[in-house]
Amino acid sequence: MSLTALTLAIAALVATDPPPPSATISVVALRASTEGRATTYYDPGIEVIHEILDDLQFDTYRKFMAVTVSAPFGEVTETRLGGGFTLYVEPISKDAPDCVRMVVSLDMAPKKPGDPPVNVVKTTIQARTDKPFRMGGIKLGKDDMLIVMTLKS
Amino acid sequence: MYGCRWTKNVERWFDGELRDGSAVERHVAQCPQCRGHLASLDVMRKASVAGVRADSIADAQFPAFLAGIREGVEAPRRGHRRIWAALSLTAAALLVALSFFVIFHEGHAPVDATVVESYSTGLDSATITSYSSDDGVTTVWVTVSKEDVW
Repeated sequence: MSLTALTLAIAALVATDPPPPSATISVVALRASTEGRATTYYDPGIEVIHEILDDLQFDTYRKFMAVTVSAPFGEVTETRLGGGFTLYVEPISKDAPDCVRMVVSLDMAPKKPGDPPVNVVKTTIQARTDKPFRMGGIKLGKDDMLIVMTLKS
Repeated sequence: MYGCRWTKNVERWFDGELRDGSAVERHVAQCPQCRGHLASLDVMRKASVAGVRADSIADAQFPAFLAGIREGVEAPRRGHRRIWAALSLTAAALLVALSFFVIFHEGHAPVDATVVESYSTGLDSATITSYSSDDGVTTVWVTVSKEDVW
């Protein structure tokens, strides 16, 4: 085998794989509040993520919405969370087998009809598989809304 | 080593150092120790002469001898050249592969948690902070100055 052929073969082996068609992300939106409980309350189904919430000061977590989003690379995927909030996810690149670079944006509906939506937060992250990413401090009446996103694949 | 006092004289006679060896010769004829010593000296001398004798090359053998040398000098080395060429090619290919690996994978080291590259908000009175816990949970927290912005 000539050196050129061998080099091309090795280059083909080590070349970056094309990104997969989409990234799968688990999204859980919670309504968090402080009600003076002795023991923290979790709605059924969300107690499994209590370790992700342990460091927060709230004592009540209610499920607002839970969905698994399949977001194609290079496209903005819209997910309506309810309460006038819309989540946008745009996977940009797969930087490593367990790491996806993506833009996450949360908009809320305008107070006045006809006004444009208000961007609450927009962030670019390098999401790692099974490593939770939280967005918090989002006011939902007297309560807070928490969004927990986890890249699954 | 030998009990006879003539031993030294016997050795000198054996080496031809005595002008007149007749007395030693008579003594050796009568002394069994000196006869034995003389015999051992003779054996050692013959052995040493045989050991230092160099192989001589006869005139008839000389052309063949030179031809053998010339053949060793002029004949090309065989056997290892291809092996060394293959090893060199493999080493070069590995270097090229390593270069490609570094070029294509530079800066793509895996992270231990989700990393926040940048963030912004469209809320006028809000600030954003970002932090990661030891458990690998990454947080972006929006803080608003008014209690109920919306």
